[in-house]
Amino acid sequence: MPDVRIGAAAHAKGVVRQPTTLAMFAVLPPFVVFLYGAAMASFPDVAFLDGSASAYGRIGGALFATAFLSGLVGLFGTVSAARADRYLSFAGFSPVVLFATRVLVGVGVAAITAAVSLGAVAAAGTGVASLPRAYAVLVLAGVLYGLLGLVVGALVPRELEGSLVLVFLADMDSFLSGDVLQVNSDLVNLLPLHYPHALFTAAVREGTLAGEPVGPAVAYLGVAGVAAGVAYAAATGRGWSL
Amino acid sequence: MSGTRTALAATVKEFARTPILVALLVVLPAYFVGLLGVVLPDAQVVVSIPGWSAQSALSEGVLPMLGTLAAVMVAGIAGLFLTVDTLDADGWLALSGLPSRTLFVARAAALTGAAALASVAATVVLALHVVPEQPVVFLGATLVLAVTYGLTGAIVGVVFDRLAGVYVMLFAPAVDLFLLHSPLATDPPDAAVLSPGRWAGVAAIDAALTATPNWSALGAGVAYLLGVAVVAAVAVGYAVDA
Repeated sequence: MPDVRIGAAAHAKGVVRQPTTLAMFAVLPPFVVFLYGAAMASFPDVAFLDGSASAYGRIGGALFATAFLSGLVGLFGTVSAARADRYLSFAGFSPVVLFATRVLVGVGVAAITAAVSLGAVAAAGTGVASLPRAYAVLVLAGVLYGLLGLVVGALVPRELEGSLVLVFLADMDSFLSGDVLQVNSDLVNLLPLHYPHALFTAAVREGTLAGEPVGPAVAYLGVAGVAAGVAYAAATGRGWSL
Repeated sequence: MSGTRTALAATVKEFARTPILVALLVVLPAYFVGLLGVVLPDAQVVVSIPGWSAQSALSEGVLPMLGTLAAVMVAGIAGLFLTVDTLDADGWLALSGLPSRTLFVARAAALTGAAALASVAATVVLALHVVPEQPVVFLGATLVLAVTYGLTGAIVGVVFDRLAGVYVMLFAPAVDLFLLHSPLATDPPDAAVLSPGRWAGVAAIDAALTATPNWSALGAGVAYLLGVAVVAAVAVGYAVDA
């Protein structure tokens, strides 16, 4: 247990050490939610939007803001601490504990960002039918992207290159999973935010997740967790990189 | 001139030293445009740009904007990291007598090269799906906007750290091009005229969809670029000398 405490404290310190990172948690998600809401109002005649375009924009903005911020923290945390984690691993720390504590910190980041984003959606005047369900889905999306950030950071252990990969993945995800562009391909189902978007929309509008793809979303999370574990173990154990 | 040449050669070498980065500058825009070109359906939609509106296939109407966006995102993040990664070294070089203005010109020239690489990659892959009505004007306008966002990334790099900077440089172009100036949007908010996408971005989309170049928008885009270059030179110069 002391190992878990030490690992979690070290990883958490890595996140909160930068004051701008802390400010980002408070400022950027509401800004994105507001901006997406205002910008989506430019799509007044798009038939597939069910309800207010602004509300639709805020829903997508909250999901994307939470997911991408968590993903970036996962990426930068992995890149900046890869060498330190490798030394800790050589020194006898269990890689499993190091990975678990990193995931734990990722869940914490997702929980904070999700709370701020959901608060911004409600503050902007969009009624949230079920706050607990909407919050749970946002945290799920955040943890999912945190794990993906970890995978990218382990595979491409440089900040610029890793950021480029994550940004393009996130943008593709944001455009296609949000149904702003109507796409009939099954490829869309593979995008990380495809299921969370459907769940979050249902939680905000109807307040229920009955009949929604909860199983696939959780399965996706499980697969991302396994991939992150394998990538992290390989990166800390042998120090391999592309 | 020799100082600028030396600084430019050093910057280019830094890029060339990481072949994965050079590959990503080409591959990511190509993958982004290529994949979206495959999955976007041929459904008919109304596409609009200021002063022009027509019925078009979704892929023909939207893909050029996504091509421009891909180049812009690469340039923006490259500008951010170029600044953040070289500020310290440039501070020492300035102390040793190299004018900060010379350093900025060299960095901006290297950034323009990266933006050109990404713009050409995006345009070439775009042409495999949808050939712009005026390919040269489209490429030129895309390059102008990409360099504008590259220099904006440089300014963001002075103000924020890497993590916050990537977050900003993901959302800024996405909101600008994908939401505010999307050909699917009909009524952007008044404040949208302040964003760079309103000028060079609209000129690029115009060049893709119509046979008559929108020189006034492109000219305003170039003027916008010059204004951003001045702000970036001042901000980066101040940070280097500080």
